[in-house]
Amino acid sequence: MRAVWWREVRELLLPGLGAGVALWALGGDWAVRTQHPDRVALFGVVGGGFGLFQGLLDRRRRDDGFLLHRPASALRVHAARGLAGLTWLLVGALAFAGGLAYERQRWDSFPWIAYRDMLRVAEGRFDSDHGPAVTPRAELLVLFGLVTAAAWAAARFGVTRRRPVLAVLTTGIAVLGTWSFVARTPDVPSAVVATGIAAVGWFTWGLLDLAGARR
Amino acid sequence: MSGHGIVARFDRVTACFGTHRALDGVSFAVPAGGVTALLGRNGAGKTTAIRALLGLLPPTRGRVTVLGHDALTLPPAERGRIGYVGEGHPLPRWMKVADVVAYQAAAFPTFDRALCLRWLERFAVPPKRRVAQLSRGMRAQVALSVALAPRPEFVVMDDPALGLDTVARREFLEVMIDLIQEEGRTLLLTSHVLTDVERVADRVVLLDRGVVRIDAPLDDVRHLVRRYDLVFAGAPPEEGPALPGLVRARRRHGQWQVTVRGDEAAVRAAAQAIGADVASVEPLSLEDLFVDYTIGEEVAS
Repeated sequence: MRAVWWREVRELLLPGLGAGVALWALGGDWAVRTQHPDRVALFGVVGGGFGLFQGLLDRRRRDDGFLLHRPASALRVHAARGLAGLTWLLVGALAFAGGLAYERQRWDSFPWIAYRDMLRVAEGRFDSDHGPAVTPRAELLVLFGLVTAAAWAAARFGVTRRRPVLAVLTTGIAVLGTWSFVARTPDVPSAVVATGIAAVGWFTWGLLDLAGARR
Repeated sequence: MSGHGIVARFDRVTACFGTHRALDGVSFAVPAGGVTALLGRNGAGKTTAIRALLGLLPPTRGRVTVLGHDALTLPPAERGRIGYVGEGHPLPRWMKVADVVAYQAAAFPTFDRALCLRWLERFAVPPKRRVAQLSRGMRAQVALSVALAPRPEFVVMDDPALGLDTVARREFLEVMIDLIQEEGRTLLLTSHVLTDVERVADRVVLLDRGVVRIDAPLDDVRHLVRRYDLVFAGAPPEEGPALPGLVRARRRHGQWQVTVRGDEAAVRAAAQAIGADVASVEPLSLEDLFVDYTIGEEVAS
């Protein structure tokens, strides 16, 4: 299903780049001044927006004979499409890390130094002018990624099933629930687990729902 | 192909969209090795039937089998034996023609890229042009080429001539005739261009408001369904003659003109029994048959 995955990646080029730019900005200077819980919400907004767009595409092509009539199960076809969305979220995550690295230590002209900076950000070993309190730990980076993915999966599911209220509620729960964890307690690990479960759950449910529509 | 020479079968299939019943207890079979034309007016249920056949739409009731399998659980390998040209020739508009070919080639193990490129060359379709920049005729030709390249045994075409001009339609028809002449192929198509259907179809299935009105070889239909002008000795009946197999009845110049399905001798005998003589008998074109069956006016069986 590589052909389906690659086609979907190209079809999501513009919204994917938009999400990448938005996530890059979240790693930027203005975002650093935002407290972590609020930044969680922003990640959810980006993920939800991207999920909304892909959900609209899914809905339009739910009965697409050209897409679905091929010697592969509907599950594999829709899984490939879902992975295409996750591919762009991964690109966005790299953009975010790049934005962080850029802000904390300007890009060197040597690309390998910039890459080293990104690794240091992920490991939480970055010293910053803004102080260590606003330098994201690795688990926070994971949390941001999961919130984005959860909001994406929930929004996509809601739009595909024509349940906008459900989409808004579940996206809000994914975002605000995690925000609440991070704001009230330093229990980031629990928030990571909960959001991860939500992300996987919504993705799987959406995949089975799309695949089941044809069976 | 399935063991009994039937490629696809609809068994009392009903498909509902809310309160609208698109198919209502439809039963018919597509025999192997020929061309079956699925006809009907707009909204008759043709596309719904096609989608149910390909497993893209679960029926509300009944069962569709294709290549010996339930259409909803058609194994991927079997699906590769079916070629499909959708209504309006849907292709990704942003892709180049060469990309479409590569996309389909990656999915179908039996895709014959050389054959596909030969078709495209025959149609003079530039491979580097984007689908959005193609004319409707060229888009149809690309859709047909990529559908035929895997050399499918069973080809399903949903209104393939939609939007094509006369020349493009004629070219498309020639390709279909070439396709039919290849041994073992089975073709199911829907079309509104009945003159084209008459040239290629072996069998006709006519859907009217979700119900099958005709399911027979085309030659049988043309032979059995005729138009008769009746002359009554006395006053003609006001409500139309009651004849077995009556499809449509119209008042013409004070008398009745009827379309009846049945042996001519039997129709003459039935007409005499109600006090009428047959003044003339007229064979019908497929288009006339289609109109008389679907017009739904006056008296019809």
